[in-house]
Amino acid sequence: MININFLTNRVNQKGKQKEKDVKIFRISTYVLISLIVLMVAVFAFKLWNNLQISNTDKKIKEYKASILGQETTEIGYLIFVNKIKVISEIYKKRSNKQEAMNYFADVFGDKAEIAGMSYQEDQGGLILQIDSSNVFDLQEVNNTLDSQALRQEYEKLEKSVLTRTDTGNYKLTLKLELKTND
Amino acid sequence: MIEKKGEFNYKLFWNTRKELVLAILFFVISAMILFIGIISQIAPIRADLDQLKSHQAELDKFAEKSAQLQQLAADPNSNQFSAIDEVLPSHKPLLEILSNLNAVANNSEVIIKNFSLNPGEIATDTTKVKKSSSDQKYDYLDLDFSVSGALWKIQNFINLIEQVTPISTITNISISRNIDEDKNAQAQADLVLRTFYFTQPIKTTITSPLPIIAASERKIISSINELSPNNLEKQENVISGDRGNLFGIQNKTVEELEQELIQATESAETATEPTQIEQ
Repeated sequence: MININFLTNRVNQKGKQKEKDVKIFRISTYVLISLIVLMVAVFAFKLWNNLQISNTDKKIKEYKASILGQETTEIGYLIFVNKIKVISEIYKKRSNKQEAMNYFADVFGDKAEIAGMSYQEDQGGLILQIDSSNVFDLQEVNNTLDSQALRQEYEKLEKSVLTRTDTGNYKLTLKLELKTND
Repeated sequence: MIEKKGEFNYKLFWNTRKELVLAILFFVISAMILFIGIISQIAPIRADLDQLKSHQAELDKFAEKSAQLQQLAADPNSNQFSAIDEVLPSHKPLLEILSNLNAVANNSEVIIKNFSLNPGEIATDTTKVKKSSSDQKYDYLDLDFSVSGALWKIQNFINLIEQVTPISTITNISISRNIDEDKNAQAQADLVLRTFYFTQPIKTTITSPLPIIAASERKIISSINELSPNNLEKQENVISGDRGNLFGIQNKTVEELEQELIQATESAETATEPTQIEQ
């Protein structure tokens, strides 16, 4: 007859089971603690975010009050800037008509007189009527008009009409394209 | 006894497998924490971060604008803000044009003739006028006139008139001289002077940034500083022509005037009555 002790086996099984349970318990504890720490971190981060948002809002309110307090300065500056832009636009459309008039009034010396002048801004050209008392003066005027110095200043210059008056004077019409400040 | 065998013995299970029960409980709690306390918080945290980012950007904008405004207020050149009104006024500068024309004509010794102007509504505050086009930033007044004098004086006049405030440009010039008959003939110039004024409505919000003046526009500031200001004083009262008391009724009440009239008519009647009797 063989004696079989089932209790020893059972005790061994129970012991192994206990060890396994303890191991699982330990793991679950670690998992729980880690998740609790993570949750606390998440809530702390959320709280910090909310604090940052409320701080930012507070600062925005302060800046808004400061900006509203300086409304007159802002409006003054805006009007100033917009006016400067408008003046800049007006200046760009201006041409160098005075400069051209003064230049042609002096460039011929006593060889010719300016008998007439016409300028229209929308057409952008200056028309000059030059009067020379004789053909020799007219020749001098022509030479001046063809000179390098004058052509450098005014590239688009056109000699359009030449007439001889009853008094023997020569009238030459010049068309000049003016540059704008664009 | 047989029925009792089928029942689960919780007490025994707790006593023998306590760790396993606790571990299962901990796992359940962990799962709840994971879903409720962590995963469900990700979306709100992300939204908060976005909100913080946008608020921070807004704060930066306000901080920059506030600093710029403080800098502007402390800028010693801020008096230019009001000085620009003389160069480009926000009203129709009719009086200024007339004053300039007179001053420049005197200065350049020319005579002004045939003067015509269509000012529309005089002294309207143009910034309040509703314009047909919202893009129109400025408007102008055209003044047609003729000047006569020596050619160089007219040239001088044309030079000077564009150098005074408010900003003006001569748009049409027609100069004629009858030098066929007289070499020293005076010139006559028909001119159109265009004077500009500002009409753009200014709009701003607390969030809109301050505009920046470009380098090319900075050059304009220095060139407009070279313009001569007009010397027109701001008039706030009607100035009398100093013509005295034309009707002689100053400091008299209506009753006193009535009395005077009655006395005058009575004395006139008494003066005419004897002559009628004599007839």
